[in-house]
Amino acid sequence: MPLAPTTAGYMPIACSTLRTGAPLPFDLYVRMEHQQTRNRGGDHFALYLSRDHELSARDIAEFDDRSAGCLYIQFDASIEYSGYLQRCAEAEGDQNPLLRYQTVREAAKAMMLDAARGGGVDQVVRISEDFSRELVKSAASGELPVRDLFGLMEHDYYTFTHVCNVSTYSLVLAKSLGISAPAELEQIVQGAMLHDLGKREIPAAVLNKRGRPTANEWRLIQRHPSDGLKELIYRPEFSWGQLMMVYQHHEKLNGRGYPAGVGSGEIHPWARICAIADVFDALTCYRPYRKPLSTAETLSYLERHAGTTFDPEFLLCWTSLFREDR
Amino acid sequence: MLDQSISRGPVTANPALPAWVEQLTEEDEEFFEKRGPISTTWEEPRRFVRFYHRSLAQMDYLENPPALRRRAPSSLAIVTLDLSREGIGFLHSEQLFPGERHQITLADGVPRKVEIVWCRRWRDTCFAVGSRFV
Repeated sequence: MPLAPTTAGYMPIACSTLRTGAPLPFDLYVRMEHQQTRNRGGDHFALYLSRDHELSARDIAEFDDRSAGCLYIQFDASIEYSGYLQRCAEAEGDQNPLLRYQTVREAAKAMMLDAARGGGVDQVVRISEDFSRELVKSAASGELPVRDLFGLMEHDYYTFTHVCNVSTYSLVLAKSLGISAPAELEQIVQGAMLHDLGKREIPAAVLNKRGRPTANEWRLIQRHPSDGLKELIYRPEFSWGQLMMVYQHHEKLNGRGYPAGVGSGEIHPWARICAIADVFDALTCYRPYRKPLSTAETLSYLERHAGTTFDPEFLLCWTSLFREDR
Repeated sequence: MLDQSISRGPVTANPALPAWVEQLTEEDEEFFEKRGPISTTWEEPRRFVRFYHRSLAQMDYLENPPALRRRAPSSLAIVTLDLSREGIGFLHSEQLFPGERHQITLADGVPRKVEIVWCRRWRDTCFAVGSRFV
């Protein structure tokens, strides 16, 4: 299998979104993990199936075995992938909520990726609006048990995967905290979708760095909540809660967070929801410099920081969702 | 003591100083005595030298964000911290947010429009704010 020349330019897709009986409108790649590629630095990708190949059930079973449920497409094919998902969804009519959720998320991810490559904030805002509406709709059509959802998530911490995951977790937590109005839930999902908007200003070399960031790099990273807010603060379509999700998701109840260092009484409840979802996803994701933590380890980490970093009541609600599910 | 140690700038018309400013002078007598350029470090990302500029000034809220319903009056006293060619740092009783655009009037009486760059809690009573001239 030929190695792709560069690590840049690929996005992960879930094998479970692929369907049999129709030709693929894009090439499929796998990530190479042997020693040779590691020595060259970064990840490398190999062509696995070329476009126009008609998938069989056996192909899909083989994907799951060989690629742990995750394949890659080129960034340039994101629009084709988004269209493919929409056609699949239409062809299948009423799906189970988990499948519908996955289709909605994958389509948003593909569009978000396209926007990130050259689109302005307007495009990102529009996508987040569509995604939040669809996600809340798919959650309303049936139960989305958190453990099943967790199984569907990709855990590779690409920024666009991360924002999709954080939006979903925020929705689940908000619902279990008793927020039921669809309009409010849509706002929360959209706020979560945009919570890392300011990371667009951070060079990829800093975001994907394997080692510890330098003081200057850390300063740059810490600017992202402010940069995100600056983009949105004068847009009339956003509520204060949404803006605070963008600005305050790294604040801590003890006042030692950033950017403002404000304490418990000053952190918006939606930002507290986002903070739990954000850290939960960050810890359960694969990062270049560490393996993902298990859900039990992550919940235990969050619990250790209840009251100092995270809202203890919100956290109790979050951890109980996993315990109820067991 | 406050009247002797700092310039009241355009706030002279209003003799009553905000309580948080009075508290500041009680807690830190040397605060208003600092003068001259602020020392810099190798990693300092700022482009221009900053100078201590401890003085009272006036802030007028120009463009409040649509989603923020401010209860504060539109004109307030602030305490300036430092000044450079590019911007001004100050203390304010209320939290401001990055991207907000307001107006600051210093002792020379000239109003200057600024954009808030950062804002961080500074002691219990106020916030330190960094802004750039626009």
